Amino acid sequence: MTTSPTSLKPTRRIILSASLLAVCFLAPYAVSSSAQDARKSAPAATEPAVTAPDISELEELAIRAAARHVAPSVIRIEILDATSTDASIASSSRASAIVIHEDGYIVASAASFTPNATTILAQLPDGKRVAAKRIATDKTRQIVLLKLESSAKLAVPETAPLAEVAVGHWAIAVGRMFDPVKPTTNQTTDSTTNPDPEKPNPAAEVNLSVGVVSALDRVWGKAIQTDAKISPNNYGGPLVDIRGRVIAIITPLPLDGAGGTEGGELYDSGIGFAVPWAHVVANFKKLSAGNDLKPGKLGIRLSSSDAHASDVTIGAISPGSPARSAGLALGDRIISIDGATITRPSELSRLIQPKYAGDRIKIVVERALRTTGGAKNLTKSERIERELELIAELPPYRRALLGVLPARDSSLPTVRAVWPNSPAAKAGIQPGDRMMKFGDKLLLTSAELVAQLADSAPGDRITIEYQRGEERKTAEMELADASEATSGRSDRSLPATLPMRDKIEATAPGDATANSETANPKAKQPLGIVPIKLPEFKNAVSTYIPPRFNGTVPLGMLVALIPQSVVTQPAPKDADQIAQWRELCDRHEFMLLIVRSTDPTSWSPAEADVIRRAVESVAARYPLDRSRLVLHGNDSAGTLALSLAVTQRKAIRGAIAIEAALPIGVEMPQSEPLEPLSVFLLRADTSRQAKRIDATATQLRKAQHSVTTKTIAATRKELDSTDRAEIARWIDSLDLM
Amino acid sequence: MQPQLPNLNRSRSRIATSRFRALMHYVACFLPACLTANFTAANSIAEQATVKPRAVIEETLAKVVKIYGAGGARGLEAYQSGTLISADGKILTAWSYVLDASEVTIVLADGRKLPGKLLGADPKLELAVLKIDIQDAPHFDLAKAVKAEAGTRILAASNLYNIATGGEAASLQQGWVSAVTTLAARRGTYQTPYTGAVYVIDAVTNNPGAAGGALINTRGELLGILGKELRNSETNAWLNYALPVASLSEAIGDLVAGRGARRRDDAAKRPAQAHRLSDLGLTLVPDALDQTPAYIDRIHPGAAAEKAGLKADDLVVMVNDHLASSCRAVTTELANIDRADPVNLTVLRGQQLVEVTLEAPAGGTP
Repeated sequence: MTTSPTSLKPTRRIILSASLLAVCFLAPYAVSSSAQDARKSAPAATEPAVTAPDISELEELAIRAAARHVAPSVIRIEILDATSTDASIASSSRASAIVIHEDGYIVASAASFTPNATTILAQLPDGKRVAAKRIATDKTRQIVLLKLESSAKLAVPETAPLAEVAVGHWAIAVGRMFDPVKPTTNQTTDSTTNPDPEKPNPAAEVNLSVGVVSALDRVWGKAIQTDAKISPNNYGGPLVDIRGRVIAIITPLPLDGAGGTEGGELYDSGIGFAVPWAHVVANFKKLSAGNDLKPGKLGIRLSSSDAHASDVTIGAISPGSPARSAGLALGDRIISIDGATITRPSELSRLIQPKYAGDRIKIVVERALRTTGGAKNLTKSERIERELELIAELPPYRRALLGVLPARDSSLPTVRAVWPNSPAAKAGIQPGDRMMKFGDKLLLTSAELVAQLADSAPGDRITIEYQRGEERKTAEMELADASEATSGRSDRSLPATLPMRDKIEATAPGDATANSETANPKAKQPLGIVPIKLPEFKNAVSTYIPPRFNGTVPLGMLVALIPQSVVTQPAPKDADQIAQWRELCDRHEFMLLIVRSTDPTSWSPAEADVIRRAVESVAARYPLDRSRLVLHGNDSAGTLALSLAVTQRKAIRGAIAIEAALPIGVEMPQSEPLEPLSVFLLRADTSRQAKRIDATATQLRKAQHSVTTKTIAATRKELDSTDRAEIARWIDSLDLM
Repeated sequence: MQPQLPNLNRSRSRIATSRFRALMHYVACFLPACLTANFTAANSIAEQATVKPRAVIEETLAKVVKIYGAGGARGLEAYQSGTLISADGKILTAWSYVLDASEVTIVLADGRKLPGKLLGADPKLELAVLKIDIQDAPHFDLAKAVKAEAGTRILAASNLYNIATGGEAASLQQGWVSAVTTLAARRGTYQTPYTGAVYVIDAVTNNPGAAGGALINTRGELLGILGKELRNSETNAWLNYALPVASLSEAIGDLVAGRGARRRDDAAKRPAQAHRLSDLGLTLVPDALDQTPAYIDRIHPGAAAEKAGLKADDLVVMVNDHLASSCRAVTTELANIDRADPVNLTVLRGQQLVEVTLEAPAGGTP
């Protein structure tokens, strides 16, 4: 300090340091007062004895004071879940919560709760435990309101006005996760090297992580971002400013705003989210009345899937949606919502995502008008303004089905097989026919047929033009409901046979060209059993690539998650697995990817990343047909397969689960136009989980997904060749359209 | 004797990568860069503010050594860190498989390479003391170690990831004490034999090779010794922690004196005669599912449960200070309590939490 070029006396330096801090980091009023308050209350042990504190010590004091300031309002909650059958989920866990109203109301992060928590306990700052009841959940912002069974008045924290929160300000994440060290008889915890600091204050025993406000208005306007370490150690706790005022409540949020709390993957990345406290406080009344708050849905899809395109025309409107009731139409261009101009899809998300069901919005669209009469091609447009109320649930999308399986060796919409009893079968479509027109739309590729079907509904009557040999034909048909047509018991819903590729090659034209494409470098990859190395993971991964694979026809993929702990014990060897599947892989054109968990007996949800990486590493070398990418597992692996298929709708086509049900509380996704979900559920006839597995099937069907079921005699210890053949045919028919 | 080895699984590795990135940001300087903002007085103030830490850091780094030993053959890191605690070369470090070698090599901050001898180890404390043949070594005086609390600003010096080699000094990280806690309170949550107090650190300090490094405050006073990699089995979150030296001075003194591990009360050890539900006079509902909530089915007349006022349909949620979410968990918790001791049960009756103490059954200790 003596080398300082300034001539200030030490005492003045403190003030200068403090005000410098204020200028650099904080709102100008913040530090000089709170830092000095902090020094008064700081324990003697860490209080500098003679020398003046330097700038970093002042920061330290201010931060400790901030944590202390909010501590009486930070409550520890403990969640007991006796019904969890998933061994990987802890049956009791703890989290933090913040007092929102003195009459026993606290709020926590929805991420802290297992789906069917039986008991919630809250520990008051004085250490006393009371029971807590869940009152309501804000499903948009993942906040849960709890009421304590206690008449004690709680300490409501001070709120940091949002207008005063700026990027770069200190942000201190506070939680109450760790047990304070009790001054017990244990001598090793108490030392004589220091004079004992002031008595431990239970109200101050919080854990903290220090960072700054990284951004405001993140996750479509729902969250504040911070670089304080956001982890289960502070979910539900407050993010406070340097004065200890609550800026926001810490909760993981998914970036795509799809609901749910799977935002935990950003853990330890320097990115954490917290929902502005002012928003939570504003919703307190609604929540305390026991009403869940759900994301508000408008029911439109834009024609552009690029969030940053400059095209905001409506591409699809869900039946029964507010948009449909308000009379919005395909092709309408959105001009504004609630007076805010919209020019890009991302701006629409930004305005709609934070809204709740029941919120009213004003929407202005521009509709092109056809001019009648006159040779001039003048297009006029009119502006239409509508006010509508967002709703929580859109009626599920029903998928339309034609009943044809497309040839895979070319992109032409040629029929490989016809689904029994489907509209196509009834209309006399045959393998080898080439689809030419869907209504008045010309079909050049199979993908165009998929798009046309996505825009149609079951029951629609359409005319299909197709070519058979040299002959052009037309057929009229009524589209079927895909979920209805493909669901059911495997012996009834699956076709008994599917044409093998060899047969098609012999008859279908255009094959010669497909086979002559030998320039594809991917064809040079090794075939057969190929070990996969994932440098960052411990999991054992291997794959079987059908040797006939020539690199031109993308293959499906069966991802087998091992262990299969109950039906087959012990976990089968890779070689045995491959031996059982290889012939089916060859015949039905799919790869087998075997991924093992690190734990010998069960999968943990955290291992989802391994599966993703394993799939991508194979897909980088062999063309993968993602419309036939399915996961497969028994028991806990089956549960994981189901959960992933249900939650990762864009990545995974379906799952084959044996003796496994969807964990209670996993939100069932609504059927979406271009993201079909198919599930094959197998269970033993005496299964202990029969009820839950059947409930899963019902739930999936209700949401308009395709469910195939099979009951196996419990006396049989493992899948037999018939089961596997059915699974293979099921996989082979996933590109049914 | 072999302590739990770090479980290097998938998420561990991913986090290690991000930890490594984070480290690169932290290594160079610990004052927020914005201190050098375009503020005329800022430069001089910043200079002032950094004078002490700079000296502190140089002195600290000289006291942290690199330790090389066993492990390499098994694909584990064969290195860790150590902290000099005496002029004659005593080194405090974490007890681990690295030290389980016939020869341990110590590399000082100045590059000198010396053989190390194990003076003593306490596997329960997860601490060990090594000795090298040296005089006038820069060192921390254990008697001057101080305590920290949540919010204490810290610096951590260690050879994490074995980045420093030869004459390179250890790496420095900055952060805060997040909490002061004990690992024992949550049985089974942390896979470590150590059950005492720790400083939880708000910085990614506990990386491969960091164990044994020094945790100091901004005044350069020794606070703790960095622990190993440890994960919370409930939340999967990695715990960055250090053992508080000031609180463990007695045990460390024993190690330094070569007295080895002291036998201490083993709290985690199961009693030979534990409590049983039937002896306490209650029956839980049949444990039919994998996990059945621990509702009381029946109270046996005349026994401790009845005397304490427990009733049928009460839901047992805690046994002593441990949450018990199922019938099985209650039985497991009881198995940890000696029959001679009373048992505290917390039950949920309707929405009310009721806490009762069941006295040891008469003649319970044969």
